[in-house]
Amino acid sequence: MSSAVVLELDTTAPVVTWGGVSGAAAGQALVVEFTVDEPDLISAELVLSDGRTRVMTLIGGELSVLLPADTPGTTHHVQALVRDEVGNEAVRSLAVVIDGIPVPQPEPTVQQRGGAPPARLSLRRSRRESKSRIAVRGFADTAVVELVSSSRPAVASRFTVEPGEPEPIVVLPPAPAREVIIRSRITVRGEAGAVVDQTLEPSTVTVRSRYSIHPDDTDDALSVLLLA
Amino acid sequence: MSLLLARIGAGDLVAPVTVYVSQTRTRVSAVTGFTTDTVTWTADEACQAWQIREVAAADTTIAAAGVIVASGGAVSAGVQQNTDIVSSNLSAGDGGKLLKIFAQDLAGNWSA
Repeated sequence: MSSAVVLELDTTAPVVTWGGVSGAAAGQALVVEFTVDEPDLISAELVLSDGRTRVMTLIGGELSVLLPADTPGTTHHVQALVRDEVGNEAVRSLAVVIDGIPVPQPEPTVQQRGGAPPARLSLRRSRRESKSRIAVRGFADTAVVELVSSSRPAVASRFTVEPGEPEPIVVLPPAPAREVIIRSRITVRGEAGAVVDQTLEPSTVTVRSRYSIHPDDTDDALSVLLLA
Repeated sequence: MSLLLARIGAGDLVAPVTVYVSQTRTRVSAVTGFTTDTVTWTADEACQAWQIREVAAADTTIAAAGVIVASGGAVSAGVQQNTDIVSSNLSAGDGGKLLKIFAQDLAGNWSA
């Protein structure tokens, strides 16, 4: 007989650890391995960069989907819905680079500006949590963009774009289209400097740089358009 | 004097005993529909008050017990009590919480 009992408090949604990815080419069967720390992964879909979605098949520790033959050759995202037995739910994301058809690049627009006008930075959010906000602190030689989420302090993120060599944990595709995957906090250096340099040319070139931000513990996803 | 000693000696110095019977779930969260665990328990004698507290160990006494997660008044001997434990009353932080049922008999003795 006992007068004590154990009750577990669980307020955390299951965490997915992504594994190997195979078949990451247009027309192929994309297979993504994963493990989850507690049941259960409910469903998953592949969100293509052009907005199309494909439901993924869940078998064991693998998610699979047949990629369309016209899948753009860029980064796409696997989004998995997880929910444990006490209702904690979250969407876990994985960025997957697909070898597909070339993505058409926008033609640069030449604007006549005298001297070296200050760079202009605008932001567009494609999706985010309601408690998150994004702010621009400046953009000259250095662009500072802050992502702050009040939902969980751990997801507070900041990235700095300034001239210099890329840090090894970040891969920036060539301008004008770039995607940066960040986890929690990161400093991005390098390619963005080229954007600033281009604005200083006598004939200013408009360059669009896109950043997709995926803090580790949330489903935040932001698209940032840098207009120089 | 002898009469006074006799009356003291006849006092109830025996603590009641509470017994955990069952619970409806072993894990709770902050999500609606999953916030409450109902614990069923009994006391071996009539009691005037009871508390369920978080404790560090099963042998912790009420004097050293932690957060009160539920409490109430009189209960009858041997009658099963159903007590809701709500997640918001637990101490912060995920993990297992050891809960202990304490009851106070009519003489003021708390269960061990």
